[in-house]
This record gives sequence, structure tokens and C-alpha cells, in this order.
Amino acid sequence: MSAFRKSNRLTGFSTGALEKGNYRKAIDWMGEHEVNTVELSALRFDELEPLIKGLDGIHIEGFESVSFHAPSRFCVEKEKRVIELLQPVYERGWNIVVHPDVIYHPDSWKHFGSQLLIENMDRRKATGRTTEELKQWFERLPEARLCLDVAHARQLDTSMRLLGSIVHTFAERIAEIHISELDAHCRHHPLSSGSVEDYHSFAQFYPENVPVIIESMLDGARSSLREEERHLAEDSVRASKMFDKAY
Amino acid sequence: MGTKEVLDPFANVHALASECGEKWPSFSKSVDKTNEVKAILATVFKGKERLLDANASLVLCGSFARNEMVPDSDCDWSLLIDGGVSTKHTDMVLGVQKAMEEGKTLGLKAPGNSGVFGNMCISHDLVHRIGGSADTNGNLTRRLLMLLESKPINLSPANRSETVWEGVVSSILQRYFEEDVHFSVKGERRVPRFLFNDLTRYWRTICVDYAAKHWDQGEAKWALRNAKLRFSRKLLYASGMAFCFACQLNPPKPVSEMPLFEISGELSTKDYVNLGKEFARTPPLEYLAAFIRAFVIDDQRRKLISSKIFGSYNEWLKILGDDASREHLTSLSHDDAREDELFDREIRVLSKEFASGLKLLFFNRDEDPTDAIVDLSIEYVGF
Repeated sequence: MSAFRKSNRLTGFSTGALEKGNYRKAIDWMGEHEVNTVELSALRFDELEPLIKGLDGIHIEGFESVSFHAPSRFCVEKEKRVIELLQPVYERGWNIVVHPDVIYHPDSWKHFGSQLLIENMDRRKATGRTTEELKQWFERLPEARLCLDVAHARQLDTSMRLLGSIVHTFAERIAEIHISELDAHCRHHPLSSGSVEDYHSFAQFYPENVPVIIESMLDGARSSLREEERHLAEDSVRASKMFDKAY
Repeated sequence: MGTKEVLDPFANVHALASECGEKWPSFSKSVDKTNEVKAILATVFKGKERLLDANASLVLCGSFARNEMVPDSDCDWSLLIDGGVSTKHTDMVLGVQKAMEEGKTLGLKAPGNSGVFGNMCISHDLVHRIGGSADTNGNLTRRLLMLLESKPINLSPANRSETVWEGVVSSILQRYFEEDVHFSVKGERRVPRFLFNDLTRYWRTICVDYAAKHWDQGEAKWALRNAKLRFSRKLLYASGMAFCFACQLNPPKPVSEMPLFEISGELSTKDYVNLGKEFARTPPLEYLAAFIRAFVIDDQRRKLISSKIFGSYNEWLKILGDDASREHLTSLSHDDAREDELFDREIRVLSKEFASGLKLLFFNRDEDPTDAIVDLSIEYVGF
């Protein structure tokens, strides 16, 4: 039986963060724990086709929000195939999160319209990291919206000026928030009190109705840790109330 | 507390005790005390599991890492940072300082925050500043202690103390081995001279600093510092020497229960780094015991060396664990020491016994003119 508190906010997990390479198990766990939001993750190219083929078999009826994370790395020759495979996702009306560095031909992605969410990048990438770099992408794809990864922005600038700039510049475009903590090697980890405090300093500017997806690697973690992570993620983006600093 | 644990951290020491027909009970008592402090730390940090970020590691050094705690031992800690700069790191240090302060009511004895311990330690300095004028006394100390006596404390599954510590230790070792192995004949095992020289430099620095402290601070705690130099500081150098020599020595026989010395297949820097990581994870007493078990072939010689080294060290821990003796050493003046029963009759005698065991292990070839360990000592120590 779920020990999770019911949330008014759309807060959930990336399937890949909960169960690496086993989206069904992740979805089952979320179903059992009354999680209302999910991001189906096919971060590796090889995961994309099996996940697309399995879409009809996924029990998504309990979720209020479903989004889909496209592969984060593939060569230009595979771009067309990726776009084809993502078509059923688009037809379901789900948002598609994509890293800008794998958008080789922006015009080929245009038909996804506002369902295409461009994610701001971490320091490893050569584009899509800063406000200026993101502006260039939205000039090419004017209907696309933003998947705001707060951990990526914090990794690039721990003084938090970059996150503030992105939030203020693209407030109208923010359609999803990714939350976690990044280490120096760009791996996603559970939140520390410092990152919660940093993210929370912009809480009043995060749109209230957008889903928050936890990307902290919790593969194999016990339920209580996952629950705690969700509470902290919600506290990080909650604007109205003082959050509990007893974490 | 997710740090890799073994059931008996002194398994090889106890195996040698059995071989010598001894018990050496102080080692088990120290392990119990160390575990007691570990439990206090778990209590102190309960509810603070999110204090450290993904690039920080709470590392304990000193007697805690050596598994040699006695009543009144300090809990020397550093916050090791391996990542991008963040003002939040100061919050983390203050958080740890506060927790350690709170732990005083439970019997925790934390260091001050103005010295080598009780503060932040940045990985880049440890890895990139080896030698040269930028390698300060403090940096040398932090770097070598990271290899010789350090233990990361995982507060919860949410933080990564062990991983951060392992990454930094690997990078330090990589520096030492890359700059050495590059020049070695492929496939040939050899003593890492760069590391060995730095280790020797550290040992001599401790000795010189002992004199500096005596000059600066007069007789305060003089006898205790002197005794520690004779035992625990010397032990660090001896275990470091053992590791450096083990990089070259081939085990005389398969020792399946001792993976500390095993390298198989073609050699690379990675193999040496892995050996070094196992060394860094092993308490120095235990490493020295494993080294003796693996490389001192003659039974009588092994027993003699073991009884001298571990027998005397066992007695030293017994003295250190006795409140009255420790108190006495803390206040003993230089002049009084010459006639002092505890210092002159016990500690000096025991320390000479300890040193004679080490000399027998590393230098004395009277009983075996073909001793490979002694060959390496002659080759690498001194000239």
C-alpha cells in the first residue's frame, strides 16, 4: 500500500531514473504508489523502438501527465528514423523532450509544434546550455517549448544566475521541469539540501501547472527514499509556503 | 554508513597473533571503540542525510581510519570536494562542524577547524599540486593521509562519500603511477619511485614538524606527540613502504585470501591504481600484517618480526587507551621524561622493539642474504 502523500502538483519520475532499462517495472511501481506523472524514457537509441512498440501495453490510465524523452545521442543518419518512431507519441498528444544537439535538421522536427520540448543542456554539450544558445533554438523552432532542467543550469552556474536568466527569459515556454542533482561527471543524483534551497529560490517563477519530473538516479532505491525525493522535489518548486528545512 | 566493511578489519593481524601464540587484545578493543564512534556518527548525522551534495565526501582520518581508536581519540575529519565551485560548500562544512559539535554530548571529540582537519579539502590541489612550491605542508599531509589513513563515511544512500573519495584517491594514484609506469619496461613490476619519494618526504616532514611544534608550543603535549611519532606515524610510513614494495614483489605463493597484492595479465596503470585503492581501504596495521604474511617466507623470521611489531604496538594501544597514562603523557615535561617510568621504561622500550621489528622486516638480512624485501630497501631507501 502506498505511503506516498497525495500531491496537487504534477510530480513524477522518469522511468529510466527509477528502473534503468525496465520501464514496465518503473510504471508498475509508480502505479502502486499513486504517482500521477510520468516521463517515458528512451535515452538510448536502442531503447526507442521497443518502447514505441510497447506503448499500447502500458497502463498509463492512472497518470494525469505523460511525456516522452527522445534518445539523447544518435547520429545524423538516424535522425529521420527517430522522428518517424516518435510519430505515435505525438499522435497521443504527449510532449516530446529532446536534446537540441541531436536536432540536426530543425525543419524535420517542426511538425511536432508545441509538443516538442527543447531541454537546456549540461556542460558537456556545445549548445543549448545558456539563455543565448536556447534563444537560437527557439528562433529555429518557434512553436517549441522548454523542458527546464534545473540541475543542468545549476551545474553550469552554481551562483544560480543562469537558472534565473533562463526562467525569466523563457517563462512562457516552460512546459516541463526536470529536477535532480548533478555531480561533476554529469550523473544525476538525489537532491541535497543545498540544491533544494537553490531551486526553491526561483519557485515563485516556475509555472504551477507544468509537470515536474525527477531524474535523480533511484534505481534500486527503497520506496521511502523515492518518496522523500518526491517530497523534496515538490518543496523545491513550491512557491507559496515556507518549506520544511528539516531534510 | 555504507563504506565497504569486512567482518574483522584486523584478520591478518589476528592470523599472525595465532601463529605467534599471542592474543594482542588491544586491537580488538580498538575496533570496538572505532565501531562505537561509528555508531555515534550515525546518530549525529541522522536527519542530516541531505547535508552533502553529490560532489562532497565526509572523510575521516587518524585513528578512526586506522581502526585504532581508544577513549578520548579525536575524530579527525575533512570535507573532500571534487566538483565545480559552489558557495554551498561552506554551508556543508558548517553543517558538519555543527553536527560534530552536537556529538560532543555523546562522547565525540572533534578537531578544531583551523588546522589540517575540520575543514574543506579540494581535490584539485591534491591531484595537481604534487611537489613544487604550491605543494604546501598542509596539501602534502592531506594527500598522503588520503592514501594512508582515510575512510569515507556514507551518511545515507543519497550521498556519495565513498564514490567521491574513490575517484579522488584514484586520481592521486594515477598521478603517481602514470608518471612512473610510463618509464618502466612493459610488463615489469617495479617500486613506484615517485610515490615512494613523496611518502618518504611526508614521513620526514612529520619528523621535522615534530621539532617545529616543540619549538612553537614548548612542552605542551610533547610526550604524547613523541610517542605517536614512534608508533602510529612510523606505522604509516612502514605500511606505505610495504605497498610500494608490494608493487614489485611477486607473491611467493598464491594467497587467495589476500587480493591486496594480486595483479594478473598484462600490466597497466589501472592495475596499480586498483592495488593502491585496496591499500587505501585497508588499515595500515592490517596491510603491514598482510604484507608480512605474503612476503616473509621463513616461519621463524615471520614470527619474530610479527611479535616485535604487533606485540609492541598492542602494548602501545593499551597505554594510549588508559586514561591515567594518557593524562600523564599529556602533562609530562621534557626534563621529567628521562626518569619517567611510563615514558622512559615502557614507551621508549616498546618503541625500540617496534622499530627493531620494522628494521628486521625491511633491512636486516643476517638471517637470509637473499631477502627480496631487503634488496628493495637497499635499492630505494636512501641513495
